[in-house]
Amino acid sequence: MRKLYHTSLPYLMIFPNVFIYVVFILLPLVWVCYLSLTDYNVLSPGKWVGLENYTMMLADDIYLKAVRNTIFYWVGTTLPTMFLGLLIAVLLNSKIRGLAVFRAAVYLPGIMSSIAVALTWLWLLNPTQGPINHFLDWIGLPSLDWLQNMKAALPAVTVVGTWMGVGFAMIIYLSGLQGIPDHLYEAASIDGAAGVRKFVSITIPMLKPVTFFLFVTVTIRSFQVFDLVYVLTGGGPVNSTTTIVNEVFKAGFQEYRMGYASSLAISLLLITMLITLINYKFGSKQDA
Amino acid sequence: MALQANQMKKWLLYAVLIFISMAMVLPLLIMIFTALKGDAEFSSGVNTFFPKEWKFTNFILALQATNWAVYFKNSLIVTAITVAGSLFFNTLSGYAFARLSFKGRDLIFIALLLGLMVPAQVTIIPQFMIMKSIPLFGGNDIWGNGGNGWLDTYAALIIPELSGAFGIFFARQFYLSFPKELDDAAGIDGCGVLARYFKIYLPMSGPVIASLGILKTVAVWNDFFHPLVFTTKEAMRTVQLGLSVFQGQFSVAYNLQMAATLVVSLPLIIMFFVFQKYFVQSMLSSSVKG
Amino acid sequence: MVGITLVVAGCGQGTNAGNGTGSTANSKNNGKSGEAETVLQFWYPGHEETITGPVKELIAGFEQENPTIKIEYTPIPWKDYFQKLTVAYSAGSAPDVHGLGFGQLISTVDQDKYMDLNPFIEKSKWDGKEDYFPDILQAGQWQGGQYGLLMPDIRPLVWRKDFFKEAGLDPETPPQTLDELFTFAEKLKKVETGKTVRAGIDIPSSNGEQAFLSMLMLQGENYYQEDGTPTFDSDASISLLEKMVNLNKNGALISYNGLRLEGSLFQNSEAAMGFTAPYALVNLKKTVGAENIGYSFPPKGSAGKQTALMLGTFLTMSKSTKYGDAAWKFMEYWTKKENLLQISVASGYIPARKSLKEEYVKLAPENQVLFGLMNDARGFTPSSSWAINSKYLRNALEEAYFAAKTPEQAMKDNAQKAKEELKLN
Repeated sequence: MRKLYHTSLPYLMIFPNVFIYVVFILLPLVWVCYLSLTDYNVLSPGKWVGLENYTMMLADDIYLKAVRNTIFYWVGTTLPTMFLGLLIAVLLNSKIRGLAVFRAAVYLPGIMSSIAVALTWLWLLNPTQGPINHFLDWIGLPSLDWLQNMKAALPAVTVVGTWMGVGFAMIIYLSGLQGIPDHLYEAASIDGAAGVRKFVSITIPMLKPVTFFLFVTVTIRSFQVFDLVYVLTGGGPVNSTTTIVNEVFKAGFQEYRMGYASSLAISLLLITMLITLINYKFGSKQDA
Repeated sequence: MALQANQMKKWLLYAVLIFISMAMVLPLLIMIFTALKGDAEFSSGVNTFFPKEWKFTNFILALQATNWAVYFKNSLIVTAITVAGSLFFNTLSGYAFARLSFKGRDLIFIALLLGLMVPAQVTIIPQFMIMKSIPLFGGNDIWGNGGNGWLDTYAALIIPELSGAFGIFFARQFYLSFPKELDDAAGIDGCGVLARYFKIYLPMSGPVIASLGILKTVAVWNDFFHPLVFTTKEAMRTVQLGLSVFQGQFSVAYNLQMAATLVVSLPLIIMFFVFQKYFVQSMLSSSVKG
Repeated sequence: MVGITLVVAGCGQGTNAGNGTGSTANSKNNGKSGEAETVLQFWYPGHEETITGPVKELIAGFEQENPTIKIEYTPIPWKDYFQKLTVAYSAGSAPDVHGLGFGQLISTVDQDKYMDLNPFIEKSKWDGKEDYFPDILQAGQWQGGQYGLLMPDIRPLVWRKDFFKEAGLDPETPPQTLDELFTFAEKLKKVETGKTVRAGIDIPSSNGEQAFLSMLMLQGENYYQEDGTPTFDSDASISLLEKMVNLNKNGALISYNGLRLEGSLFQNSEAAMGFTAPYALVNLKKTVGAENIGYSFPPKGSAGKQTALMLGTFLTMSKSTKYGDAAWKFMEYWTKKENLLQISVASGYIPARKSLKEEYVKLAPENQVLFGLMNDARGFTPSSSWAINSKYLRNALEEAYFAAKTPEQAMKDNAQKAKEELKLN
């Protein structure tokens, strides 16, 4: 009896989460897999079309463009977000006055809804009256119509995405830094280790689980970017900023091609899964 | 000399922090100034940083525009229950995944992660149908037919959010960074698995609860898409839905939209400041123990 | 009763106001006849007091006249309306009567989800059949059925008289032909240090298919046919795009996303001319003065056409409704002369009955022009291919604007892609 209790206890502990997950995530997901093999159009039940949606998808220039853009956005936001997040977290992990104010300031964009953030950036990037162009004019650099330029639009969106995500990375790193027991540093101090060495030999290894976590979540988030693109550029000019989820939204809710939209979503799922699995292989080596 | 160098370092640190904070806060300032502008400033073709006329009445107008009292009540109820419930379930599961070994652990964990990777736009229609056919609720029979299930109820907004792959993942990573000796010491004392969680892990979970609590509160409070789809009745709508009021067919009442956005974000900003204190305390207490 | 509703609605008490009144009327009636009560679900876009107030008032009047019918009115903000409706239809829980977007109706009418109103129209001898403008009724027709009653929003040519004066043009004379429209646009642009700060004409570079269609229709064309075949690669369409691209090269256009939240260029005083719904200009009127905005029929195209682009919202009945007769009664009440006038004006549409001319024109000087436009107005052609054709037209316009392709190449390539996606080859 006691043994049964012991083997079943872990399962009982995760049961509430897993049950809700199965009903509200996994089941819909299986459903979407099925829909991706039909021509479901939202209003009438779909007919089975096999892999037709997938072959159509791979032949669609705009989809391929969306994949490239999404990967650009992923790389362009994930690395700077994590680097800046760590940097700011380290700066804020000291005992100085006004700490609470600085922390709140950095985290502020993370509290605002993404629509509100996008609206303010629209104004910052406004070609004729935006402060950014005014500033460029002032220092003598050529100003640019950021969001209506095929080369500049995606980098601009990427910068906004990074700016939005830094607060999140900062707070995660901060809680990670606080989880490092002080005695490790004390021991190192006795050994005579200097600041930078302490950082490399203690802080970075101790932050590995947190870094792994951040990398996975920031990656997943960046693959799902939608609100920002929708408000800032709508995917243009000439699809230079469209992303996979933007295409999912267009196909599903504007063109009523839910079957096709589902296949796009499954492709997104497969790409993110692949990256996460690779990361999991590397990230969990030293954990378990 | 060393003192002076230290002083210099401190000033440099402040300068960097002030610069970063300014960059992060600037858009908030823009929001505040936009919220105070008069209607006419938006169509004149000239857009300035400061309002030409400071219209503090915009905040009153924005608050009169719709049933904010009802929306705030709903958002508060949903956020409070969801955050409290999910923190408990997520730390419990996170602990299990981090510190217990059981069959299929990694497989289940990866399967949970899958949930993070699906954009809401895609699963929403199946989710809606599941909500509609929850058996024995909202006039449904035992097979889930005939009524509206959980649609237009708090349950639709709370129950699915109680899980959350993100929270489990977060808690798991946090507990993984705990020294293993903790377990061993407790094991010798004859502590059971559950007792270990309640007596050792939970009391040391201050930072994780603070961070996860903030993240979850922000996510639930700012969630627009699920309340949009799962509720229709005026009496069940949440604050984020209220913000749509300012976007008409042809135009956006930019100033009122920003004013309302600020009011709606205010609880989050206050919460963050309050949690900050707790944050620092939890840091101190854990370092004392360490 | 109407008075009570108005007072309550004035306090912003939400939907309860209408319901409360309804049930009072109802209980009275039940006492007398014991007739069963019908509850109709009704969704309508717009959550502003200016819309919900008149709608609630109208519902109260209707419930008083029909004590056995109760209307449960759900106002939904514009931004969220169509997504909510789509999900409701997909799950089989559509409201009995609801507003429906122009594109949404014409592209999904073949799915057999909306009620054909003709049997009701005939049975009740609806007087709107003769009184409505034929073009407006036709907008909701498909294969002989009437699937919606349109509340039209029509796009006249609008121009800024002050900018005309500035450019040395007669502020009272808008361009008369399509060619003149383009020469005017060149004159009206304003360039400062190499940057266009005011466009001669408001044509979005992204999501700009409506402005394009406004001009294409003046040439007597549309961008796809009833069977879904794209026609935007026609000679007339390509030459129109070439002219627009030239304007852009000369700095007479400002590129922007037509769906941006700040509103159109014209709304923001960043363009001198445009094809815009006058209701969108309420704010502009206040800022620059109503006397500085002109409204006219669109300029004549080479075929002498002056067809105006007409969009708007349909009043539609769901085919799944159990209470067709009650629902029709409500729609009939909604389209009664005095009610239609009130509701249309409140929600920004033009009352589509010929007999309302006098009363409508009295309300504002520009209404004369608007009302006249209804004699020759067209919207999107009913076809499930609307979304795909629009997508590729948008794409072609963008590719040409941003010089990724020549106008001809852009139109031809995208028409070809649309055909492939629609399996028309």
